[in-house]
Amino acid sequence: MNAMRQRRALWGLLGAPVLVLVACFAIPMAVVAVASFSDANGHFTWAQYARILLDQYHWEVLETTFRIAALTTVFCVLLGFPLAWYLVRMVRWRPWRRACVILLIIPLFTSNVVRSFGWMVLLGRNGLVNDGLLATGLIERPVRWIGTETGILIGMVYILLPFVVLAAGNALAAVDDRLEQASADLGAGPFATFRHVTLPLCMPGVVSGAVMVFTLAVSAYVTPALLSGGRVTVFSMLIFQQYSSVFDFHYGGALSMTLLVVTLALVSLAGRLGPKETAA
Amino acid sequence: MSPALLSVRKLAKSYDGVQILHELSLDVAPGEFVALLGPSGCGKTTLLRCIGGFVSADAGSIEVDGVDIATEPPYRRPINTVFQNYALFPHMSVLDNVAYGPRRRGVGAAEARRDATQALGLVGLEALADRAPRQLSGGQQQRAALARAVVNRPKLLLLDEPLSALDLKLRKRMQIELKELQHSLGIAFIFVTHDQDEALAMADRVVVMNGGRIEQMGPGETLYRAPATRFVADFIGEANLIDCTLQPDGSLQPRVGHLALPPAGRDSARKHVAVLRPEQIELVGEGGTHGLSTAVGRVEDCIRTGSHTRLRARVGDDMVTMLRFGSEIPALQRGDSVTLGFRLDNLHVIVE
Repeated sequence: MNAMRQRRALWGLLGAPVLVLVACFAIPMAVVAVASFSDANGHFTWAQYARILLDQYHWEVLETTFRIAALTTVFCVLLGFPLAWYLVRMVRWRPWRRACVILLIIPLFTSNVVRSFGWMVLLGRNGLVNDGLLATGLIERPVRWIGTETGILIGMVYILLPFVVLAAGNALAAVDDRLEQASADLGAGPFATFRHVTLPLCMPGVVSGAVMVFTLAVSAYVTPALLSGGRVTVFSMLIFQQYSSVFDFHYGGALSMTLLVVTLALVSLAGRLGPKETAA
Repeated sequence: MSPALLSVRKLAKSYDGVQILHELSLDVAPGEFVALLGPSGCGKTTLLRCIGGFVSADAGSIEVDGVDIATEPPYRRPINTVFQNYALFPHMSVLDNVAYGPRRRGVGAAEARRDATQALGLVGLEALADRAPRQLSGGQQQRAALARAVVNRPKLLLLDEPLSALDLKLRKRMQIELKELQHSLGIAFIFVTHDQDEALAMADRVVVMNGGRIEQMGPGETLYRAPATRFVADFIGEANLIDCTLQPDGSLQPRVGHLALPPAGRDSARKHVAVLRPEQIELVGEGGTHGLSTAVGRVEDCIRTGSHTRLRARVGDDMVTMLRFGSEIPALQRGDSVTLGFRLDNLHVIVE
């Protein structure tokens, strides 16, 4: 009796979140998956996938997509970790730290479109970046940023940086300073302490930030679309075309599933190859 | 006395304008077991952290074997620490934790493992070398932290309330083990604690601190028998502190008891307080006083704890506590009249 009532209460509590999960994630995903395996008449077919996987062009786009995403992740970590270190370990004055965190988070409240347009202005032929570089004499004529992978990379790193900073910052703040003191006590200099104690302990946070950035970068549409100037194509643009202009939900669905599967495979591979506890 | 291994001179430290250490000096001999004892906030942990190098002192020197290390970082000091919550590295096995010290000091991996295994053997933890710290019990973590701290064979080991997280039984056992380990390694220990039983049970010398100053230091027995200040008398064991008045003839009359201490050239400008330990008081029956100084009081409460009976009685304005074995004291009720007696030469007089 009691057990049954408890079970009922449990389902009552879990019901709402499970329902949301099913309605908003599982069902749409299933719809896309089913569409990808069927033709216009609703019959089962591999044709959509054959069309993608047997075509060199798709592989090239896939490669571009993952190259940009991987580089975005690398630069986000390289810039984000020191920034997190600065905020957590070096800033002593609390108002300044709070101001920095707000500065970091505020852009997340603004639309991606607005921020990407901002970079279009900055990186344009007569934009602030080119003007600045010209004024300092570092370049002799304007560099073309828009329409290059570099331009896209700059925009993506800017937009996704906060995720690494927040994840790594939380991990850093959670490292018990007594462990670092113990390390120093046992004869480790600051660098050895960082390498053997601090870094391994906050690695899970850095990795989770990196995975987040990578998945967001792989599926990003707005920033690459605006900064590519039509010259660079990433996978999400192909998907967008199929759904918004061609209205081929079967082909579009197959493209989506392809991107999803490859991303999941890469992320789980990274998790497997990720930092293992190394011997002292 | 052998030349000091550690010599702290006029060490001062303040935080935000609050003086934590007041020009404090302390010597520790090689192989000595010293306990820093005091209430929380007395500066004992700050002193330990200054010696370890985790807090930089404002002034003063810290010498080890005649070399001033006050400005050296922790990793260049020939000292190791057992931290209060052990601070074992959670991402390493127990063995790697212990091997960490030798590795960072440039010992090869194989040799470091051998040293670590040997150190774990000292604390009886070889069998658990491959476990992660979180898989160990509190006592085992304590032992692992100890092995990690002694593996480099420091001359001086600092222990910051290392037993405070253990339950009473384990704590008693670890006290004995720690003492034995200290003896067999011959390393000097500085042990911080707020538990006077622990300090007295383990240390060769107890340093009682209060308000950033050393109140008194010496063997535990001396501190108990002859406390230098009211604070020490009260902090080490239990004490009846009895105010005394200097008589015109130079004798000293305690407020409790009818006999006075003989004249001894005392300074009339200073206050005199007599310390009387609870176990030095007995109940005096009809049979007579046997030369004891006696006082009549009224029972406040009488508590039997099995091995002991504790009786509190009000004598005039003073509350006097006495402690006897088992049921030496008959069951008394609140308000009963009792005659307390004590030997005059058991009184220890503190001059303030």
